[in-house]
Amino acid sequence: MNCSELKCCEDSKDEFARCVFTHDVDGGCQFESVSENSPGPVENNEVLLRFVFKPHHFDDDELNETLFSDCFKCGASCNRGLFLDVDHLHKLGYDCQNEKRKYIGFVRLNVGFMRDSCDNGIRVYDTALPYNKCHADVVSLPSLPKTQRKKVRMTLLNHVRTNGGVFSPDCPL
Amino acid sequence: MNVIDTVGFSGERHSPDCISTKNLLQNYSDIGSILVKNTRKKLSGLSFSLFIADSEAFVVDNESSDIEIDYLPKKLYERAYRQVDNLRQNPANYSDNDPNVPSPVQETTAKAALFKLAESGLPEPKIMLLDDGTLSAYWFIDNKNYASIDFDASENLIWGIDEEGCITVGEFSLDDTIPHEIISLLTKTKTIK
Repeated sequence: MNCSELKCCEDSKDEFARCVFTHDVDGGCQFESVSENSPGPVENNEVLLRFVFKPHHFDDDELNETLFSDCFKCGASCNRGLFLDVDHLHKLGYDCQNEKRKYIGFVRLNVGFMRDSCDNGIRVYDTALPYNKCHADVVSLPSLPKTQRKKVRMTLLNHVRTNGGVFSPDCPL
Repeated sequence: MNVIDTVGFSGERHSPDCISTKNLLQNYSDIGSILVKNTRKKLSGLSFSLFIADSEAFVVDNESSDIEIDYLPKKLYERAYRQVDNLRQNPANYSDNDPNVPSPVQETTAKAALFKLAESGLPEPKIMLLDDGTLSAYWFIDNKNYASIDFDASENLIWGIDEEGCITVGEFSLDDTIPHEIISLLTKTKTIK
């Protein structure tokens, strides 16, 4: 397929994951660059960094599976660690917080691990943006049975707990 | 104690079978907090009254007039029940988009499932809210293992355990026994968060 067609999925918002799996059946577009803003396709040896935002009224400090709920809908937004230093990442994180959510840091995800997990049910795409060329998305198939979706969420949660994360300077968990 | 309601069994003698927790749960599941197994022994062959007060259940032994406030699910899982209420009022999780508000059915399913977990003697879980409004219980165990149950209102409950990186998932009905994998993981461990 022409992987540039995946650009149209970016308008799908909550249906982004479904759109990607519909257009890129075999996942081949993970290894192509689909944006003129991009530094290139996301390689298996890269590390993605996912921001963690805590709702202001949360009474719980423990990360949980919901950090990866977006995989099945709009895609779990990440930044490609290869191209960003920690200070820059924190600045991006602070810029994304709002009155509802406070930025508390980021967690690490190995691209190769994700692509090899859950019977290749987790994919990583270069989704560079005009204002953030390091943007990437982690997606999984929304039509998976609920047990398999749970396995995807738990696999990713285990992975970030193993890899650890970096707290923002003024907001340790 | 401000007694706001009185339900069932008052002034009568009941066999243990009649007052099983299961019967009480079936008859009064809308109340959300009845007695659990620790109370069952005390009530065998006695007459008693069950009072519902301030959202908790109290058992009164009519013969001795002693009031026993026993281990109630809602008392055991006070934080979890509170988290369910909080998440219904302020739905939130770690995803980028706001999750759905739990529907009344989703909330009822969650509270019934919590009752079942408490009755089974499992440690109190934390509660998270999935994007579709499903409430879910989870436990971090010994800082390395993990267990969780999604209280899915439309189908079976979805469960998963992560034991030293080995992830197992499955499903069971609210009427079934809790999967032995979960019980095993939660009862053999030392520190649960």
